[in-house]
Formats: sequence, structure tokens, C-alpha cells
Amino acid sequence: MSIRSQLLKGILDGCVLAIIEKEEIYGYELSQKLQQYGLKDISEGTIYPVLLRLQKSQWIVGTMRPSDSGPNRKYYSLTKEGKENLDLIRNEWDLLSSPITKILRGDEDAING
Amino acid sequence: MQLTVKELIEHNNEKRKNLTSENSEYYQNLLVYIRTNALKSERATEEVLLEMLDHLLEAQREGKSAEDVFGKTPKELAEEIIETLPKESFKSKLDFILEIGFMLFGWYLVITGIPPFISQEEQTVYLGTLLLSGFLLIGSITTLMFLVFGFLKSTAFKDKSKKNKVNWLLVILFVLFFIGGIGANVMLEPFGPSFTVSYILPFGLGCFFLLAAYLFKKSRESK
Repeated sequence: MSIRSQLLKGILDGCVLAIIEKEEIYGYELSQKLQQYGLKDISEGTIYPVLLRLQKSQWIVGTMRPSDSGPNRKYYSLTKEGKENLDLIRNEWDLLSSPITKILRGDEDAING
Repeated sequence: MQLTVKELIEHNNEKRKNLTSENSEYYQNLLVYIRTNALKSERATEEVLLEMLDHLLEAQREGKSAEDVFGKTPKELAEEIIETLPKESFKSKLDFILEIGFMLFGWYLVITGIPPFISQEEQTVYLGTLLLSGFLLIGSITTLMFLVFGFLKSTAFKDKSKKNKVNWLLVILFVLFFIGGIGANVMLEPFGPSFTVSYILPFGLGCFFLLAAYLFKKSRESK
């Protein structure tokens, strides 16, 4: 597994939740959104284990219904529990991202006396 | 509108025809590998397989290949999907085992029940022989299923440079069970308590078992 996909593994769930929060979406659309945000290297297929895992934890639910263009599609939406966990993930990320960025850049000025 | 498992499979079969041959080969390997993991919910398995097929078809229209969509390591992806699929409920597993059991014993009884049914002779059944050969035949069928599933799984993403590994231990077990099961009937002196049954019973019971298997199948497919 590449370094990028290893790093992404923990946080991809949060990204998927955040996109589903905005609108009900189906698999293909979701993968396109992730790519549009710039996550171009991850293969589109990796969202399926994520979607299954999130459904198992009951953070999202999928419902089959006809799409505008015709065929049945499985649309995902956030549950109340999913929304709560997304907020938790957002908080955690805010707490982690700035120190980690500084550490990785080797920015010693950032150390608090 | 909820599709049944049977309908999901039919949709999948139908839609797969629209894949290019290269994409079709890639997808079918993924499908076989994921489907041969029998302990996961059949419904969830078919739903995600159809979802991935729809995804691939949409990507194909934009000129992408299956490898672009699902990556260069489909086996890893398949493993990850299997791992995250929900387990089949205990009741569904039990129903499935009963369905297979009824079907096999149904056919067995119907076929072996035809000669006495025609000759209208009463049958003597030896309980010891019956149980021994029954257990051995169940054993042989179980090992055969493991063999077939294992073989399908190992050929799904086969490395063409390597030879397929056949699980010889399972082959030997199957042969032993099978020969034992038949042999217990033919070669051994009948043993155990014996009783006579009407000439209709084996055939009739077989028909009843087949009907039961059919009903189990219907109920499974309509979920």
C-alpha cells in the first residue's frame, strides 16, 4: 500500500461523511466529488469498503431508488449518529492537523516554551 | 421499492453484458472472489456488487478501464470488501443448510426410492447402516463444497505464471468420505436395529424433502 493511501485510510471515512452531509449521493458521484477536491490518486473503488463500514456502524443509510436518468441507484444519507460522529472527527482533525503540519515541516519556532 | 436478492442477481447478469471484454474479465474475477465468501449476508453482497457494476459502467462511458476504477490490486480491494460486509444472520445460514440438506437427501431418496416404488416391495432399513452412510455422505458433500469454493477463489485472480494449487487433503477427504458412504451400503453387512417400511415411503419422503427445499429456496430468493 502506498504511503498516501495509508495516511488517508483513517481520515477517508470523515471525508466521505462530510460529502454525504451536504447532499444525498450515490457511489459514482461520491468518487467524482473526492477527485474534484483533489484526491486524484486514490482508486475510486476504495470508497466501497468505506461505505460498507459506515453503514455497518449505522452512520449512513443507503436507499435504492430510481435516479433522474432512469436506473435504480443506492443513495446515501447521514444518520443522526453519523452527524454526531462527523462533528467529533472535525474537532479531532482541527486539534491534530496544525501541530502535525508544524512537526512535519520541522518548524521549531512553534514549540511553546 | 426493494429489489429481491434474485432480482439483484438478474440485474447484475443483464448489465454485465454491457461491459467491454477487458472490463468484464476484471469485474467477474472480483465478483467470483467476493461471492465465494458464503458467510456474509447474501443481500448486502449482491447490493454492493451491483453498485460497483453500475459504477464501472458509468466510468466505462467516460473511457475509463476497470483498473482505473478499482486499482491494480483487485484482490486487496475484494478482501477489504469481504471484511466489511455484514455477516449473514444465523437463521439465514441455518435455512440455507436445511435447503441444501433437503435437496440432496430429497434427490437421493427419490432416486433410490424408484425401484421399490415400481416393484412395490417392502423395504428393510438398518438404522446403523443408514446413519453411517448418511454421515459419510454429508461429510463428502461438505468437503466437496469447500473444494469448489476454494478452487473458484484461487482461480479468480490467478497469477498465470503459477500453477493452481489444489488442496489435496480435501480431495483425499472427499474421496474417502464418498467411497465410505457408498461402501457402507454395499460392502458392509447391514447392522443396527432394523425395521420395514412401506414401498412408498422412500420415494414419498424424497418428494416431500424436495418440496421443502423448493420452499426454502423461494423464501431465500424473495428476501
